[in-house]
Amino acid sequence: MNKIYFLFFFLFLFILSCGDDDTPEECGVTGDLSDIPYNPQSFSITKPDGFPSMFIPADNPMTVEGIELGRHLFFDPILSADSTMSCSSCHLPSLSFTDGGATSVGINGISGVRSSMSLLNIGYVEKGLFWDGRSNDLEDQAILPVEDPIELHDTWENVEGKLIAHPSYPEMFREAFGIEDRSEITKELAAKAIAQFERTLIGADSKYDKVIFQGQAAFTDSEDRGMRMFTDAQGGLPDAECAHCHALHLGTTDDFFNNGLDSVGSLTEFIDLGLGGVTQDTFDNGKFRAPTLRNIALTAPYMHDGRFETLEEVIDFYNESPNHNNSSNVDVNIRPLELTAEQKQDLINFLHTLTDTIFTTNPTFQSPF
Amino acid sequence: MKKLFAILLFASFLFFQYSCKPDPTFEATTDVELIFKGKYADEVLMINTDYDYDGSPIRFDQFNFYISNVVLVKEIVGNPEETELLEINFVDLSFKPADVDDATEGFVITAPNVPVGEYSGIKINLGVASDLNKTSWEDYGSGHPLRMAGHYWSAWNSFIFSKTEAKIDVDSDGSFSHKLAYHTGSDDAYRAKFFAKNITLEEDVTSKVSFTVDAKMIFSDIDVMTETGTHNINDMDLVNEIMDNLQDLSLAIE
Repeated sequence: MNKIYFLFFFLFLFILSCGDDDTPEECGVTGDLSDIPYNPQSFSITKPDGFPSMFIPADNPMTVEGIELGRHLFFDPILSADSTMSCSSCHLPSLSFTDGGATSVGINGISGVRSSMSLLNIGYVEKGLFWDGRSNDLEDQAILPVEDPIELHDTWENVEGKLIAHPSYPEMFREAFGIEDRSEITKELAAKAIAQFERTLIGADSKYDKVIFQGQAAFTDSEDRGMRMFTDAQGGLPDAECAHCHALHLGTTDDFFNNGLDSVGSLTEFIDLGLGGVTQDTFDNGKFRAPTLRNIALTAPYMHDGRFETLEEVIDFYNESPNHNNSSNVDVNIRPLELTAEQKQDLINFLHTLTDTIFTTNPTFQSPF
Repeated sequence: MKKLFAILLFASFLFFQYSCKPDPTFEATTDVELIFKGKYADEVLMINTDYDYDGSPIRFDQFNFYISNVVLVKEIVGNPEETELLEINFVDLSFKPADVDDATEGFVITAPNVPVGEYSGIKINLGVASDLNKTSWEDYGSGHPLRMAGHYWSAWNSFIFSKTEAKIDVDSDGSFSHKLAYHTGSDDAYRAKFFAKNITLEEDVTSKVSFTVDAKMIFSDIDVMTETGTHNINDMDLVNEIMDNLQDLSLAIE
C-alpha cells in the first residue's frame, strides 16, 4: 500500500513541475524516440494527363508518414497562438482550399489585405508562392503564416514547444523524419511535412479533363465556344486573351501580371505593391501571381483583394477594361474584348467546366480530426 | 576439350580486355559563350524604358525568343562538318532598368565541352525545331528552357517562338495606350541563320561569340498602328514577317 502512495506522490510532483513558464526540457519533454520504428514509405505523385512533372526537393522526399503528419498539422489549430485557427481556417477543402472571403481574417480579428489563394495543384507552382511571390517553395511558405500577426500570430518557438509536449506529434515526427528525440522537432520539419501534404493536393477530374483527356464527356456548344475564345483557337470568334496568363491545362502560367485593376498615375501609387514589394522594382508594382482557374467557380470572390463577387463581374471587368491604359506596366494583352452578352456567358460556361468536386471531397484532403 | 576451353577462355579474356579500353584519342574541349545583346537602334534595350518610334515614345514589356540547334561549322563549301553547341535554349532580353549592367553585357548562354579547333561559321535556328515542337511544355522537367507554360500555345500546338510586347504613347500624352503583342510560333515560323566567321577555339580558354538583336528592326515593314498582335493561327502572314525580320534584320553577329 505504501508503494502506491509513493507512486501517487511522484505523479503529483511530476504534474506540479510542468508549469506554463517551463521550457520543454525543464518540463521533461525531451525524450528518446528511437524505440519507435522509422520505416517511411515512399510516396509517388501520379502525373495527371496534361500536367508537368512536379519538382520534389531532394531534401524533402515524399513519404506516406510525412504527408499524414503534414495533414494533421495543416488542420490542427495548435499552430495558432490561441489554438483557434489552423491553415485550414483560410484554406477549406470544400472551397478548393480558399475561405470564401474577400480577404482573410486572423486570430485577432484583423483582416489581411489579400484573398486566400487556392491550394489546388499548388505543388506545380515554381515561380514564387503567395500573391506576391515572396516564397520560393512550399517549405518556405509554410513557415510564414504562423508568426504573421494578421494570421496565426504565434511564435515558432512556442509552437515547437507545443509540438514537443504533444502526446502524439513526437511519434509522428519520428515516423516521418526519423528524429531520435522529441526535442529535435523544429519548424523546418513541420514546414516540410505541411509541404508534403500540400504537394498531394492535385485536382484533374473536372469536366474539362473528361472531355480533353478521358473522352468521357463532351462540351456543350456554349462551352466549346467559350474554350475557343479562351485560347483564341479559331478565327470567327473574338480573342478573350485569357490564356496568356491562365494557360491550360493547369489554368495558369504562374507568372505575375498587372491586369489593370487599379488606375494609378505612377507605378509608386499602388496601395498594394504586390510583386514589387518583394523585388523592390517599381516596374513590378501592382503585379500579382495569376492564380489557377481550375475550380474558379468555387473560389469567389475574385482578384487578390476579392473585389469581384462573381465571375460575371470578372468577365465584365476584362471586357470593358476602363482603366487599363493608365499604368505603364499593365500587361499588353489587357485590352477591351468587345464580347457580346452571349459570348461572355460562353466564357463563364467554359470556366465552369474546370470545376472539380472530386478534388474538394477527396477524403485524403480532409481534416483528420 | 580442356585445351579448347582454355583457348576460348583466353580469347574471351583478350577480347574483353581490349574492348573495354578507353578510347586513346582524347579530344580537347573548351567552353563557348554565346552572348546576345539587345538593343533598340543604337541604345541598350531594356524593358520599361522609353525609346523613339517614329517620333512617339515606345516601351517594351518583354522581348525574347527560342534558339535551336546552334552549331559551329568547319567548312562553308563542300560538306560542312557541324559541331553542336546546344539543342535548345531561350534568349530573354527583357532586362530591367535596374539591371542596366547586365543588359549591356548581354544574355549569356554557355555551351560546355566544345571540341577545340578552327571553325568557319556558326548556324543558329530561331524558334523550336519541329521535333521538339511536337512536344509540349509539360513534357519537361524543372529548369528546362521549354518548361514555360507562358511560352506554349495550345491552340497552335506549338511553342511560342518569340514574344515582342511593347506599348507606344501615340499621342505623347504620357499614356502608353497603343499595345503591341507579337507572339510567333508553328513550324512554318522556324528560321535558320548562318554567320560566316572564323572562330578559333583553344583548349581551356572560354571563347565568346557575340550577337546583337535589334528590337526596332522587328517592326520593319509592319504597320504597328493596325497590326497590333499575332495570337491567332490566322495571323501567320504577320508571324512570318516578324520571324523574317528577326532572322534577316534584327539578329547580327559582332
